[in-house]
Amino acid sequence: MASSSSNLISLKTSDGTVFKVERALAKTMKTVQAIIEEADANIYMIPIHNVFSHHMDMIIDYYKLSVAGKSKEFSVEKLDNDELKDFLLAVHYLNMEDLFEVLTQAVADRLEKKSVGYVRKYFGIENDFTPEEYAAIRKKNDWAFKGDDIEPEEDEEKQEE
Amino acid sequence: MEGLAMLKYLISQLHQLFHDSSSILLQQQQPSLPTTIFLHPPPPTTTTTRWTSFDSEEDSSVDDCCDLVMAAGKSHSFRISEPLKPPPAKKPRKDRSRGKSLGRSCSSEVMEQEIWKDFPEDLFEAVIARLPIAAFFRFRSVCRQWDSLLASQSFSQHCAQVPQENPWFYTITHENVNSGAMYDPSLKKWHHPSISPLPTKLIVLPVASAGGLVCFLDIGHRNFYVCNPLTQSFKELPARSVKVWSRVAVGMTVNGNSAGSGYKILWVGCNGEYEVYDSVKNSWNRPGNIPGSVKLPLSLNFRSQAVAIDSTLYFMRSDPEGVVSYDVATRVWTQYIIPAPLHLTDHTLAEYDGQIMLVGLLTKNAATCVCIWELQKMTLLWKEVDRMPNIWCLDFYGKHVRMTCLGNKGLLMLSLRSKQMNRLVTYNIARKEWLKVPGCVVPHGKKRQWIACGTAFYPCLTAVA
Repeated sequence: MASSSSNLISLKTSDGTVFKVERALAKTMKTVQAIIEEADANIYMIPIHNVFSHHMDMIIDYYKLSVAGKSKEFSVEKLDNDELKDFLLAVHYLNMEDLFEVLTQAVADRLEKKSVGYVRKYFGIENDFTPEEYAAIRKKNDWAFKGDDIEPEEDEEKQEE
Repeated sequence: MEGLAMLKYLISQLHQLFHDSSSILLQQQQPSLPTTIFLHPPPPTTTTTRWTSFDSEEDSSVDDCCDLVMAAGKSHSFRISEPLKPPPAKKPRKDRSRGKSLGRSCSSEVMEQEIWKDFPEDLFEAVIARLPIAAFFRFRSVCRQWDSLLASQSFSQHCAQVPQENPWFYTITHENVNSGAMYDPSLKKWHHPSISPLPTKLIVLPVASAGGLVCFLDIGHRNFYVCNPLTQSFKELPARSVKVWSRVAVGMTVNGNSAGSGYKILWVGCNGEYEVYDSVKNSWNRPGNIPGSVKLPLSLNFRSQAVAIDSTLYFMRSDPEGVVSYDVATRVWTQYIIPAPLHLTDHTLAEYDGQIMLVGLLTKNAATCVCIWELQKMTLLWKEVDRMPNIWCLDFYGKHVRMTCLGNKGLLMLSLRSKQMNRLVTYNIARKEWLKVPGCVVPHGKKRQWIACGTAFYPCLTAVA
C-alpha cells in the first residue's frame, strides 16, 4: 500500500491502467502535485482523467530522456497531427512545463506551412469574420502568404504564388 | 494556476461521468467517480441522461476519490454540496454558453471538441507564440480572436518565453525607397509588405535598432521615428533641441531585457554635441558635454552602425583611429585608441556575445577580401579571426568593390557591389558561416534589387514604439 511518504506515486489513467511513477516525475506534473499537496490523508491513487496509458508511456519516455540529459532526443514524429493534439491536451491538463513547451513547439512546427482553412479545422474554430473583414485582413497580411512552400487556401487555389 | 487545475480536474471528472454512463444513475461499476456532486439539470433538448442527487455509498474504493475531491473543495473554497456552476470563462464566448456543453450527447469526439473549446486560450497562445513570424501573420485570418492577439497581455508573455532566433533585416532598396524589403534568414526569404511601417511621405533611412524596434532618421537628418516593422506600431520622436542638421551617428539600447521596458536613443555629431532620448519620459536630454579625453572634432565613421552592449554604445572614429563609447546608465564617455588594420576600407563595427568585432574590406594589389576581426581588450588591438571564402573573393578580383554592412549583432548581411555585380552574403559570427542571400525580387518582378541600406532587427511581435 503506497503511502505519501514512499517514492512512488500511483497514477490511474482514463483507460484504467495504473502507473507507479517516481515522485520526481509526479512533481513535474503540477496538477498532480497540487492534488498531493492538498490532500490531508495519504493518497492511494490519483486518477488522471484525459490522460490515456499511451500518453503516460510517452511522458515516462520523455522523463527518462531528460533525466539522462538527452531531452533533445525525444521525438513525436511518429504521432499524426490528431494524436499530437491529444497528447498536448493531456500534457496541458497535467500542467507539465517542459514537455508542454516541446509539444507546443511541435504543433507549431506542423502547422507553420498549413493553410488558414486547415488550422481552423484542426482546432475546431469557426471563421467569425464577415467576408469584407476577411478580405481586408487577407490583403493587409498578403505579404506573408507569398511563397511556394505554403499550402494554398482552398478558396484561393487558382491564385498563383 | 492551482485553482484552474482543480477546476479542470472537476470538469474532466464530469465529462468522464457523462462519457461512461448511458443509464440514469451512476452505479458502482465506476467506483473511481465522485458521488457527492450535484448538478443543474441539463436543458430539455437532451433526452439521454438526467442527473439527480444521491448520497455517497458505502464503498471504500470511492473514498480515495472523495478524499481528493473533498480536499480540492477545502483548499479552494468551493463546496461540493452546492450546485456546481460551470467555471468562469476567461473571456466571454459569445457564440455558446457553457451550460450547453454539459447537456450534449456524449460521443467522445464531441467531448474532445468541448475540451478544446473550454480551455483553448493559453493552449492556442502557447502554440501561436511559437510559430514563425510569417505564419503568425497568415493565421491572423483564422478568426477574430487570433487577429487580436497582439493586444493580449497573456500572449505577450508567451512570446517573451520563446527564445529569439535569427534577426531579420530591414532594407531600403534603390528601386523602392518608400517601403522596405525584409529578409528572413531562417527561411532565406524576402518579404515585401505592401504597407510602409511609417506613415510619412519623407524618405527615411534605418539607422539603429534594439528590442525589435527600428529607429529611422529622415534623409535631411531632422526627425527621428521609431517603429516595429512588423506591426506598424510607430512613433515620431519629439523634435531635437539642436537646430543644426549635420550628419549624426545614432545608437539605440533597450532598458532591461524586455521590449516593454523602454529604450534610449543617442545621437552624436562631429563637434561633440549629443543628446539622449528616453522613451519612458518621451523627451530628449543633454546630460553634459563630451569630456576632454575624447578628441574633437569627432571624426565619426558614419558608414558604421553603432554597437550596443548592455547599456553602452560604441562608435567608430578616426583621427585617432579607434572607438568611442557612451554608457547611457553612467553617462560616461570613453575613448579607446585602436590602430586600424592596413589596407582597410568600408569598415564597420559589429558585436557578438559582448565581444566587439570589426568587419571590413582588405584590398591588397588587385585582390579584395572581406575580413573579420575581434577586439583584444587587453591590448586594444584588432585580431583577424575569419575571412570570406577565397572562391567568393575571386569574383571581385581587380574590381573596385564597395561594401555595406547591415546589422551589427550576431548575424550580419554584407552587400558587396562593383560596377556590374551585386552580391548579398550573410555572416554568422558564432558559427563563422558565410551564406549567399537570394536576390531581392519584388513579387511579380524579375529584376534583382540593389540594397541601399538597412539594419537588422529581432522580430518581436509585441514590441511597441
